[in-house]
Amino acid sequence: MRQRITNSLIGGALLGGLLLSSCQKQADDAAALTEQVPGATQPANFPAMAYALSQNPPDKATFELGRTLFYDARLSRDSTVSCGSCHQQFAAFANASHALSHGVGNRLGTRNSPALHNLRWRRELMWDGAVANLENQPLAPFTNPLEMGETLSSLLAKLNGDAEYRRRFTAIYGPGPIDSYRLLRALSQFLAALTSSNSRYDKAVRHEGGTTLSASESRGIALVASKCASCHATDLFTDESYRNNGLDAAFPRDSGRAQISGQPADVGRFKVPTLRNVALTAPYMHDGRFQTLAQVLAHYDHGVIASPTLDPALRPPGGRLGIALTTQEQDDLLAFLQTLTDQSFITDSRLAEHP
Amino acid sequence: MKQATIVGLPFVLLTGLLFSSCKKDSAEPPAATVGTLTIDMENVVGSAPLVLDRSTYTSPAGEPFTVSCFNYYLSNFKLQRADGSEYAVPESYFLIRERPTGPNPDNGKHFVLDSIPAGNYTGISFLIGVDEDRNMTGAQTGALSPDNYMFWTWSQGYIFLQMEGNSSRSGEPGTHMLAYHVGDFRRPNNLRIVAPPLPSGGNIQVRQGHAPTLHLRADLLRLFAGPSPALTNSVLFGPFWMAVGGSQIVPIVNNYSGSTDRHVPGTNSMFTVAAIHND
Repeated sequence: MRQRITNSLIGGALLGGLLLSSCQKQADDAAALTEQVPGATQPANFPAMAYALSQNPPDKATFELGRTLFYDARLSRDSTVSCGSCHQQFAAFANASHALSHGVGNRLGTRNSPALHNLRWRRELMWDGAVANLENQPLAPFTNPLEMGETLSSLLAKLNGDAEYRRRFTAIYGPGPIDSYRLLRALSQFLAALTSSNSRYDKAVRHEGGTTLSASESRGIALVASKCASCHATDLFTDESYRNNGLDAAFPRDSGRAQISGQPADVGRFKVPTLRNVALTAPYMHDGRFQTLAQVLAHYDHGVIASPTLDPALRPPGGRLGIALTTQEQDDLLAFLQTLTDQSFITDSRLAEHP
Repeated sequence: MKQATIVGLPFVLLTGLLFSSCKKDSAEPPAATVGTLTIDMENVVGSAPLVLDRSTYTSPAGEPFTVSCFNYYLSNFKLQRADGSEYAVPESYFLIRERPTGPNPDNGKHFVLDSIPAGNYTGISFLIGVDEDRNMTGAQTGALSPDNYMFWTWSQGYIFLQMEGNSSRSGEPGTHMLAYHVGDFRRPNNLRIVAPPLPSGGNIQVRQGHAPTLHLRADLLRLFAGPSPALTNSVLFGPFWMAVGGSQIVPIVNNYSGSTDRHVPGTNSMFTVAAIHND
């Protein structure tokens, strides 16, 4: 690589030629990398990454080590729960059919496991934004007694006691014990690789392969733009804000964002989730109370409940609470939401437990 | 960090080249013009040395207590010159632990600020805790590693200061425990800057070939009473035997820092400069 760049510096007499050749090389390198490590390129229709490639440059061995860690139940206290237990590839790395997460000792968590994808673009993680950096995210489920229930020292002792892990970590990071830094850096390479950007919707907006959407699906896009995009914004379909979407009149058991911010104004506010792969990630909401997307749309149409922090977007002036949606509109939205399913993502063998 | 860069070399080579040329522009002064400052920490309880578990102390409110754990972060060290300018010591993060736990056995009581421009410094300030940015940065090593058990993993962020012990007056009827864990950098922001004055007329003489040492004393009693009647939040162990972050812990933060504001340095804090040795 260094040699190739030097050659192009020598060979390129014109500045313009220089720029072109280095751009071309970058593109070539990126393409080569994409074949090795998934999710290492910027989709044309996505905003800028929050967790830039340069922060933890994708590398095949590290990505694969991260994948092994992701699917290793020994990371939990009693070796029964891995990250992959609650984040299943076929469900776009959400937990299919579980309203609340299940941890060690079959303990029930307090929230619905969120789908893991496009984490590179997330500024804050968790339903309440408790985590501000992807690399430190795994510390939460590792140590939560309702999730993996493990201590950091015990977890690291298990990894350091495994000759194969020692060999793989040493090959990447050099001599020395496996510490939390190396563990988190490796695991976040896998998490960051979970890019989902090849749904039918994506291909249509990028004009790839002659993909077109039906009339109903296209009407659904227009409806999202006019009625949903104040929260489900950009092609990531979230503005990453925290909002009270009218599920309850009070939030005594789980106050959401207020648990982090300490602000009464944040009571009942939860992260706006992406709509990508939403047809795969039932049940819905932070507590998994809705089983189907039809129920979700019905909630917005006529189920919104008033409370002091209810989002202004759901209290139209002079109107009833919620977002009025005709039956036809709900059908069109459902049709559109299906186009956000990314089959290539959920079938990418590089992301699977047994590639 | 270095190792990770090597792993990703093919991909970030161009970016890396740009970064390294930037670094050259802001290079440190030549070696002859920089020196070090060693900080020696001493934890005390009033006029007595801190001895974990075995010594019984008396709080300002007259209540007996013992201490089983006393840990805190000091960071963002700055040295002030007589002309009002100052030097911010980059990457200055230190964890002081009366009894270390976890893989790192260092109690952190002896540490060195290095590559300080030579000169005479008339003031020192630092943060009690870890600055907002570093609470939100990715995986960390050394003093900032979560392996030190000074990082909250659920509502994530560092524990700035941690004191645990026992008191017969504790409101916890079973174990009589005391537990005060300071953290939170959003609302409330429990970070505080302190600027303990140097002994009268003293200054810190940083020179190439010299090794000045600053002896810094931390008085645990200051968790329970502030520097003045107006700035004191009297802690009684009956009603207030435990607090973990949030607004509950603010009275203790204001007591030990002598400041009620993240941006106003406390000059009468739990930290005092006991001596400067300009060897």
